[in-house]
Amino acid sequence: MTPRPIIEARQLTKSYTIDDRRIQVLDDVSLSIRAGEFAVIQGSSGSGKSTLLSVLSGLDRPDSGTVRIQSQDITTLNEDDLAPLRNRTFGFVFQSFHLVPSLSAHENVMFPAELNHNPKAADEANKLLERVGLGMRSRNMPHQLSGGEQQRVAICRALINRPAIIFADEPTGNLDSRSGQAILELLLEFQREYDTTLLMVTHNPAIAQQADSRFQLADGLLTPPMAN
Amino acid sequence: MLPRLILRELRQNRQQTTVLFLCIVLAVVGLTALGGFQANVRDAMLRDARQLHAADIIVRSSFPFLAPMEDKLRAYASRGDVDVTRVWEFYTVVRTMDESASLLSAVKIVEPGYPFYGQVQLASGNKFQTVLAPGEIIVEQSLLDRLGLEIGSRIFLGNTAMTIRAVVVSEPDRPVTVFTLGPRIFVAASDRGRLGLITQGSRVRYKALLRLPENLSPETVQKDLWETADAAQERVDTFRSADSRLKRFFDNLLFFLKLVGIFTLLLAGIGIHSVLSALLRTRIKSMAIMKALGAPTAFILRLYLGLVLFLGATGTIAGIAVGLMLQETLARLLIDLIPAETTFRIAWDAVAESFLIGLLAVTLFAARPLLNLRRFKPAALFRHETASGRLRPAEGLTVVLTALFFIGLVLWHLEDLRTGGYFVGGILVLIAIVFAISRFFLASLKRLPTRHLIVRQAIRGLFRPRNATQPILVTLTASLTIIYALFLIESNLDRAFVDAYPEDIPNIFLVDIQRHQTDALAQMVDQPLTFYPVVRAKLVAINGQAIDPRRERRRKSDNLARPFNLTYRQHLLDDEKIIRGEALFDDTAGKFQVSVLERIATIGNIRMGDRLRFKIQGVPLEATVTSIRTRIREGLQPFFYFVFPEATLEAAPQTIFTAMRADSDRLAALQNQIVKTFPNITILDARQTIRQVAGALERFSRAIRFFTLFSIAAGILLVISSIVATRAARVREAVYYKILGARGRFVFYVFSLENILLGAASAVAGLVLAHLISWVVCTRYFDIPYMGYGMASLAGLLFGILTVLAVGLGASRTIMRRRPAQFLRTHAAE
Repeated sequence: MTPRPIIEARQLTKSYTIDDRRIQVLDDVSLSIRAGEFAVIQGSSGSGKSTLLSVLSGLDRPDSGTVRIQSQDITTLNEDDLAPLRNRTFGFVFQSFHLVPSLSAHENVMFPAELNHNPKAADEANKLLERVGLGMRSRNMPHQLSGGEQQRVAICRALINRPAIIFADEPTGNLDSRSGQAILELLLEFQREYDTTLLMVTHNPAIAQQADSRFQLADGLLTPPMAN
Repeated sequence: MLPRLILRELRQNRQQTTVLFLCIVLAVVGLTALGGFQANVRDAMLRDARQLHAADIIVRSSFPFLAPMEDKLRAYASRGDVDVTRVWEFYTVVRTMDESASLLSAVKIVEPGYPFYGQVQLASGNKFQTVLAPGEIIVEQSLLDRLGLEIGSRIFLGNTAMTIRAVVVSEPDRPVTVFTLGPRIFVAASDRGRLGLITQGSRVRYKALLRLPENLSPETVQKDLWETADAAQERVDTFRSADSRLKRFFDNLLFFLKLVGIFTLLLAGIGIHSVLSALLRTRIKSMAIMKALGAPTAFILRLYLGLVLFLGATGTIAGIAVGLMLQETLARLLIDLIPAETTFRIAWDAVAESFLIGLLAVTLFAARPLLNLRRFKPAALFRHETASGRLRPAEGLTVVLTALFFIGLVLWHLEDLRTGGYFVGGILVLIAIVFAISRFFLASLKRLPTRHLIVRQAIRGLFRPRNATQPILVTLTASLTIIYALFLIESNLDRAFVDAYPEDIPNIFLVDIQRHQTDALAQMVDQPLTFYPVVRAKLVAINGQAIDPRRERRRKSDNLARPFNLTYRQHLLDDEKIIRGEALFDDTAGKFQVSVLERIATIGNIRMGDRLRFKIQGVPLEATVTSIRTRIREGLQPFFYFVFPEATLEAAPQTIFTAMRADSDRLAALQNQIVKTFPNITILDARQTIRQVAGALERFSRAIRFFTLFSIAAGILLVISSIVATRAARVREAVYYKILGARGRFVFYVFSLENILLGAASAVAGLVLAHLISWVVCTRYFDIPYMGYGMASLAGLLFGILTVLAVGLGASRTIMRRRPAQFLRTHAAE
């Protein structure tokens, strides 16, 4: 039986106006991603990959079209309605890590679990950090960690509530190839273990090769998915 | 290229440069308004200084002039080219002919020739000298209104009937009327003898006015007269040196306002420092790029120095403009207290001074952040570096220069080394204490174990990188301390004033009673009276050390150079107790001993066993201090600083004083009766005095509260500047919270609690310190009991917290509304 789609986007459009110039970033984009799948969106710089990821994850609103997550239309939800979805259903990993600078590595990881009123938040954060090899650095502040370490903390933070979907925006883009490969392996390991859907934006063909399905975005238009 | 870059910096950092601009405006606005106001009022007083004093030379005394002075004045009068005229001023009660009404009035007996300069303006427009004739008087309109009389009516002045000939509109040497107890009455000197109002020991101001020819310098004549004068009781001034009561009043008022003005300048200066530091921190990357492209440090320094100077110049000009507008507001707040002929023009020297102070303040407070620019390296592009907090020599020099500037400013404006020293020392001690408290508070907060997510995030927010929480906490606490302390001191002074006048206290004071009149007076008022003998005297030396009248007159509190009322008795009053010595007098110490009240003992540093030398109408009297008393109740009961044994003063020239209470419906009739029978007795209606003093105090308070607003504004700017400085970090936090699944409410609570923690810490510490300062000032300086004002303190606490909360949330409002994607797009590269 074909797994049901966990993400379904229909006829998405999005444009920006910069200095009276209208730029069409997404033009009638539709896609569907199955639960547990590792999908990749590829494209050159400025092709709209990150915008598409923002719209699919509810961080931004499309001009038109719909996004359904687990059959629920999220394009009509306001910020507060989106909050539980972002907390429990989604996990985010960004190219720039985006750790809260005033919180330690441990506090960053347990934060989403605490928002979810999980009484074991601290223990679970510790376990995750131990697992990614940062048990000894859990009290360190973000600026005291290397790029690769910060990204591992960000992955732990994305996973602590065992989300159904992880949105990853160029997670290896700021790292050297060795660290990048390690991060990718970590993400895939967790994806398989937690049976999570992983939707990743990248322009690295080597990473794209490892995906279950690939979408190519060029000039706001999406080419049909290619299976590996 | 540089101007273009400066303009770009201004545009790109609009919020921070606006706050910086406002800090600069605030730094100069208060002192400009005060400087301009002071210059205009002083101008009005000096413009026609001769007219303000009606003469070239003024000789004054609270006693009849002594023989050497009389001889000297006669010698000048006989020269031919010098004119001398005499003036006697005192209060007395006048009565209508039908005895139905009476009124305390300010009598001025003048000889022909008065005034030498200026005009006594009459409503009729006629010449004063030709109108004032023997048997006739010239009065103020308010006397006619209050007694229901008109020109041509007759009234009793003492026991002599006089005809009202004209109405006086203004007189040159009495420009302000607010502190007078009654309307003016001019009397010709030829009537002085038959009025019989000036008797031995009466409270009369004796004046001799001299008009000099062109070739005779007032200073030469002043010097000559000083050599003859008895410094203890006679005073000689030229029209230039005369320190009028009006000038002293304004000097005292401006003294307090300038303390507030300088404090505002200090707060605004700290604001300039913190905003500029924050602005430069956000530009580290731009500067690193410029350096990486080959721009020398000097170029970057010039760029930001240009920015600071541009904002400094425009901010100072704007501050001066606002200050000039405010000087008229200040005049409106103090209406009736300033000379009527004061015109508010631009006082260019005050403007130049403000401009210089503004630019200096900006340069000095901005110097350290600018010098810090030399530390940034192009490597900042690749890694986050925290600059070391160690002070380099050049930066240390700017700190020293800034401190010197501040101390110099205080001394320059306060014109009093000792008070200036106390003020600077007080501020430094306050800042040191606040620094220690804030450090302890933040360290404790950091270690506080808390499981509650919102509380923990709020606490973490205080330690956000680049947050500068401690400097903000220090400046906020220091400003709130001053604001609270001003309120508490003012409230305690008001209450002490009200408490001094309870319902059952005497409402009439009868002064200048002669000894033979006491029994008849007691019989007339039909109530037991306590009579206090009063001997007018001057204190001339303590332990052989002469009292310096000039130095004494500079004191803000009571001074030792004024005439004192001595008394004699063998017993303590009900409201007195001995705090040094065994009894009022020592039986074995002879008759030359004196008991001193604690208050004047503190002012004059008088101790047990000290020898005090007095002069009673030229006759010296030396006595040893054998006890020091204090009063156990404050109030309007009569008290005396110096009490002698009966044997010492019994024979001295004296009058008698008493206080009594009369129902208001009986007051007028009783007053008429007393004045008719005893014309020499002066009746002071305490209610009117209280009303006048209360009115003047209220105006004082309004002016001080108005200037305190600037300090509050500076404190608010500091909160805004801290929020602007950490705006990027807050936006980032808000976005991260949302991405991780927090609702808007959560962000709101975290930011609110963070501001509440900041506000509560500052307000609580500020309030505790303010109570401490106010307690010291009230009990040690003003010598009044201290009250804590619990509810008002609580309200002040809430005001402090809510202000910080409102300003903090107001500035963070837009942050909370942002959608995450907007931020992620613009910060993707970071």
